[in-house]
Amino acid sequence: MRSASPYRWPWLALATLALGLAFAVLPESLRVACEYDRQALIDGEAWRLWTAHFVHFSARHAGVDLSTLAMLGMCVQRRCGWRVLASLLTCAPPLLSLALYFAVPELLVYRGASALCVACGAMLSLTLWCDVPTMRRLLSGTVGAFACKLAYEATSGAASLSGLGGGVCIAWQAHLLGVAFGVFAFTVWRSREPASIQENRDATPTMELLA
Amino acid sequence: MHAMPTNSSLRNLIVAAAVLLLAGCATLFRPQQEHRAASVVDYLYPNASEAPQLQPGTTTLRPPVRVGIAFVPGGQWDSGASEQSKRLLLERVKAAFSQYAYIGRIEVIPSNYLHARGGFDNLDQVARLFNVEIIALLSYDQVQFNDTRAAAVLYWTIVGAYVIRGDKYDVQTLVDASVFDVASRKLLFRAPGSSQVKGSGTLASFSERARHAQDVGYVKAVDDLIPQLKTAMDDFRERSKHDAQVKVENKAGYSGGGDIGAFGLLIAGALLVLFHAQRKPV
Repeated sequence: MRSASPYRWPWLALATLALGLAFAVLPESLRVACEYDRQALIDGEAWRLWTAHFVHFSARHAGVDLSTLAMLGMCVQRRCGWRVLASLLTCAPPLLSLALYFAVPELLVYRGASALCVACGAMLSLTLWCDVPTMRRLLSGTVGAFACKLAYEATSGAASLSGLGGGVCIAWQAHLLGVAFGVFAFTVWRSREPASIQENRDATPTMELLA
Repeated sequence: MHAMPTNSSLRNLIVAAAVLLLAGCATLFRPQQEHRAASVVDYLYPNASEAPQLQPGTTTLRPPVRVGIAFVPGGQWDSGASEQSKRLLLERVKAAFSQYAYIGRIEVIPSNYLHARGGFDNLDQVARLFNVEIIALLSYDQVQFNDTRAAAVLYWTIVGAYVIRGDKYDVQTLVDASVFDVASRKLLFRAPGSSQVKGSGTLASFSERARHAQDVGYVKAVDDLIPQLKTAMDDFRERSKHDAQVKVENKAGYSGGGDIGAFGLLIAGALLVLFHAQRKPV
C-alpha cells in the first residue's frame, strides 16, 4: 500500500476552491470590481484579467463552477503535479481574458471559472488519451458529450442549463478558448518533460507508471 | 471701283467688335474671392431666431458606440468638394478611429442622406437609418482668393495665356468636426482642422489648378483635423469620468457568464471516474 505523501494531497486544488469561495462571499460591489469589464480594462484595471475567472453571478453559478474546478484540479494535480496546476491557474486567467478581449469584442462583462474548468478538463483528457489507450473509447464519449454541449450553447445562446440570471448569456467562446488553452498547456507540459520520463512512459506499462 | 460701306454697316461692325472684345475681357477677370461653406449651426438650427436652449439631462454612452460620420450639406449651389472626394475624406477619418476599442462600427453617411437645413429631425432619421448612436458632422469653410500678377499683361499675346503663370490663388480651408449624441442631441466634443494651399496658373490652366488646390485644401485640413479630433476624444473620455451629465455604461444583454452548467459538472464527474478507474491496480 502506497503511503500518503503530502505531495499527493491536492492542496492546490482545494486552495483554489477556497479562493473561489472567498470571492463568492464578497459583497456585490467588490465582485463587480473584480469582474471582466471591457471598459474598465481599457481604463487600465488589469487585475480584472485574473479575478474575472474567480467571481460569479450567483451562488449556484459559483457552486457548480467551483466544484467542477476542484474536481478537475485535483485530477490534474495528482496526474501532472502541483507546479503544472499552479502554472495553469496562474497563466490561464489573464490569457483567456485577453483572448476574450480580442476575439469577442461584444462581450463586455464576464464572470466565471468555467473556462478554467474546461482548460483543466482538456488537459486531463489529453493526458488520459495518451497514457491510457484502453480508455479512449470512453474518453471519446465524454469529449463528444462536451462538444455537443458547446455546440448547443453556441447555436442557441441559451442559459437554460446554467444558473445565470436574466440578461446574462452563456459565454461559450470562453469554453472554446479553454479547450484551446488546455491543449496548449498539455503540449507545453509534454514538450518540457525530461526525455527520460518520456522514454519511460513509452517503455513502461501505463498501470505501473501511474501506480 | 469699290462701293463705300454705309453708316449702318459700319455701326454694326463696331458693335460686333465691341461685343467680342468685352466677351474676351470677361474671361480674363475672375472674382477676387470665392467662398464655399457648410455650417453645422445652419444645418441643425435652420430657423433659429434665438439661441437654442440646452436641455438638462444625462448623456448615456454604451461602448462600443456605433458612430456615423458625414459632411454637413452645403447650399444648393455650394456643394464644396465632390461627393467622391468627401467619401474619401470620410474614409480617412474612419480609418483613423477604427482601432479604438470603445468605438464599434463606423458608418460613412453619404451627403445626399442629409438635407440642407434639415435640423435634428433629419439627423434622427439618418441615425435610425444607419443604426448609429453618435454622429460626427464635418462642416467646412473654404475661401479662395484670386489675384493677378503683373505678368498677366502678356496674356494679350495669346501665347502668354498658355505659358505665363499670371494668376495666383490662395485657398484657405477650415474643417470642423462636431460630435453629437443623437439621443440627447448634445454636442460631446469638437475639433478643428485647417489648411492653406497657394499656387499659380496660366490663364488656360488656372481653373483646373484651382479646383485641384481646393481638393488638396480639404485633404490637408482633414489631415490636420484627425490628430486634434483624437486629442479632443481623449479629453472627453477623461472628462466623462467626472462629468455627472455623461454616463458610460455597458450595453444591455452583452454580459456573459462562464458557466460550466449541470451538464458540464456531469462530464467532469465522468472524467473523475475515468481518472480513478485507471488508477486502480489490475
